[in-house]
Amino acid sequence: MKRREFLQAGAVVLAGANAAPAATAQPPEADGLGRVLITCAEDRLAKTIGDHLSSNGEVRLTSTVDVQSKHPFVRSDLDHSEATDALVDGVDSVVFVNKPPVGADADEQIDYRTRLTYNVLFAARAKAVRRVVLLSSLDVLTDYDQDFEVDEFWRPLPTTEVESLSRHLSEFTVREFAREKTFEVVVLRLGHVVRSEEVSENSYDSMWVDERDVAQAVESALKAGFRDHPSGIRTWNVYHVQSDSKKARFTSRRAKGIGYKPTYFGDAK
Amino acid sequence: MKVLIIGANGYLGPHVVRALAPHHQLRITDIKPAPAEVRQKYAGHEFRDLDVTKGDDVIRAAEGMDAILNLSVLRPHRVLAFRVNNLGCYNVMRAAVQHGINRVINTGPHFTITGPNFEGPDHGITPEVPSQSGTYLYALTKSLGQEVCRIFTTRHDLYVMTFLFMQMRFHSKITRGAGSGPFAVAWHDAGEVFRLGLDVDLAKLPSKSEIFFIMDDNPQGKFNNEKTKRILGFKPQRNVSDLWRKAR
Repeated sequence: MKRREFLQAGAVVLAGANAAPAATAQPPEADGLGRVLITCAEDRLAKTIGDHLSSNGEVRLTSTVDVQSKHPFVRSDLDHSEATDALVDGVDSVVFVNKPPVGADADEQIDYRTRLTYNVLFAARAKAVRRVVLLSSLDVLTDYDQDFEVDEFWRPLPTTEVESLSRHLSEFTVREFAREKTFEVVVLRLGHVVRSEEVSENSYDSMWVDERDVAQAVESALKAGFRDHPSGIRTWNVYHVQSDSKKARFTSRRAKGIGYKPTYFGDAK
Repeated sequence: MKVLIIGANGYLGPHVVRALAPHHQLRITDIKPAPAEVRQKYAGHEFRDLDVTKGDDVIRAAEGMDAILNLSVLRPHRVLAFRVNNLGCYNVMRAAVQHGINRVINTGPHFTITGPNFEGPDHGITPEVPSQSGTYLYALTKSLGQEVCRIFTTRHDLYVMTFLFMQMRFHSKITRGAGSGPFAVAWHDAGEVFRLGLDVDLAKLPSKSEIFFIMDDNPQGKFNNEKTKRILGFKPQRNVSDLWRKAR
């Protein structure tokens, strides 16, 4: 699929036409991100990620609700359908922002983070998407004693509150696809996403991470190479994304290993 | 014991009701109304229509109960499988917490935890392995539900036993050469094991979330039911090994 076709594919989806031919799993051009689909277009974080990535790749946004966007946009229910298959057709990577629409009740949140995650990954597998980046939350690890240096190898401890539980179930769903080794999965567990200038009057929160740093972390996740493992391609990759403050609750040391360079809150006291 | 059975009119439910009815007071529920002959046969018990995906209804149905058995399942539908198998477990666990019910028995297929990564290459598989359902819709949605149950046990004072099944056979069909997958049990024994689950001393369970393979001594050695026998006292009455004996 050529660039023009990719950017215009939204019209194809909305028209309900048959999907274009399946993409081949070609890596994107050197130094570029290739074609990136970003979900939850209505969310500010998704927009920030889209803006950040668009300088280095072909970005398309999608959402279950209508959104005005300066980037190509396709509304999709992300259900199990040809439309979802067409949505990911020709895409190199999917960034699953993983935020249910505002006002979603508990059932809808669980449904979004399990069934819709499954549908997108199911389509990604069918259309030979190379990489899926799932945005998750470090809240699933906050029950550990703060004195521990908790990293990506520690077992998540979700609560039964729907936000925590559904986040965990989303990771649980993605993990099973990662085992199949048909595409690479990167889970970015984020701190509490803010804009530094909007919280400048508040005392520092050790969970904060600036959304622009998150966008840069997503770029790092899309560029990282996972083909150096002795057993072949590493298809399950988890990274913690926090600010660079010494007071940050979790370390981002591993994420820095793939190029994450946080620039906000580094001097937080 | 007062026992809520959810999904009682499916394949497994009638065998569970038959096993439990003489010993416990049952609230028999399903999204499909129970047939008239079943209501008549178990007239001393209560019948209700219940959709496990409706949280408030599940909470109401659990009121006054001592235990919940979740037999509900939906396999092929890409929306309902998530709602019944995953959200349904969430609703069951919320109901248990709300009413202080500390004994829940959940159910599923063996690949709720032991998906193709195990079943293909391995033998002697026990229920203690880390969950790997794979991406098959039925398996993964049941696995999500199981994970919901497990997480609730980490946060609340309740116990979940998960009974995993695969091939169930009527006694009359257990004949030489009939064949089966390597995870078979007679329907009779599949029902009886729920009585054991209601009788077992919760304090003697190794943890608050325990998984049991409900199968006879299948001769392939693929899966291992030792834990079910040791902890629940499971003694299958109907030997299924003829399924794999050469037909005469």
